[in-house]
Amino acid sequence: MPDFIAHVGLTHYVVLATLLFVIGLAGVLTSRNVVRVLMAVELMMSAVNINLVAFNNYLHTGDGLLGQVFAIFVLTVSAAEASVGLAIVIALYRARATADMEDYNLLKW
Amino acid sequence: MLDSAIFWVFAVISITAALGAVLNRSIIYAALCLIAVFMSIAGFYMLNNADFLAIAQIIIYAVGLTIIMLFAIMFTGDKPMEIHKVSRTARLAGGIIIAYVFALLLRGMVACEPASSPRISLEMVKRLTDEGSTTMLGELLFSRYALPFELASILLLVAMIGAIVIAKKRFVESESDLLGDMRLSVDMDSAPAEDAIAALRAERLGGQSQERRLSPQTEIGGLPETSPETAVDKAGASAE
Repeated sequence: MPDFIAHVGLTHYVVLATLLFVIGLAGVLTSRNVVRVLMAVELMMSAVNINLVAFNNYLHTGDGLLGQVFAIFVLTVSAAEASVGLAIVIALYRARATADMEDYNLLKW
Repeated sequence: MLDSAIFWVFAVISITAALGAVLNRSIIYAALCLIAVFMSIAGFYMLNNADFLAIAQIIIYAVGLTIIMLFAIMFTGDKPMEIHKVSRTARLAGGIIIAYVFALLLRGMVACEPASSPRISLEMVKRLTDEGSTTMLGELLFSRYALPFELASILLLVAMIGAIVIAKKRFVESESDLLGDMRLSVDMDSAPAEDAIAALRAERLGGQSQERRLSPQTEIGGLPETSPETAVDKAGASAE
């Protein structure tokens, strides 16, 4: 068995988190449904959290859990962002009766 | 060794489910794929000695957030979205851009990895495996990171109030309308506002004709018992 399969290290987590982040980015850029865009943003935030926790586990030499504390704050902010974002989606749906991003041109002149 | 096996299982699940969440045509299935992604991410947290975060991830993301997403999908997805043709060159360009961003991020993050990676200290690992990360996280959050913790609570409060204010129905004064300055309980932004006004009008007219049919003496008297203004007020009251 190759070494990189048998021994999972920090690099594996970094590559995995980058893959998830890029998949989320592709989702944000290509989706037309506004709810799916929010879902992709959440995916990107989770990918960042994987990085924080993995770096905390592999690189932190002191006796702190700084990365995990930071991940908790990212979790908090993403929860707040999701609640406000979905409220905006609902208000937009009331105004425009559609979930298509292309139809949200209220600020376009 | 076991850790590596678990990692690979979760890695395959998370990448597949993430692709499903982004590419699946049905948005309900995309939300379900997202649950699988969040669950496997909780598995990664477990592998990295972050058990509190793993449970928090499951509770907040995989359950709470996805339920709200499904609620929003049910609220907004009653009509199917039209499918747009994307040209071959646009697909190719998008793929190239995404691959470039991936390479850039990977290069930057792998570059910051030191040659010899020092693990956390042994007594730390022992503490983490003995009592879990919850105690230590709590100690940190209430001593060293107390101020950010309180700020986060304020942020959550503001977000909660803001979400309620944004999402609730608005009561707007209607202008330039035959119905005068009565308050409409319909959103002025919404398309059905016209329908609601038309319905109010029809109700008013219907009520009048019914009254006329029932009490012919108003016809004889020449003056209708209910003037249009009072009818409008009635309609407004019933609408409110």
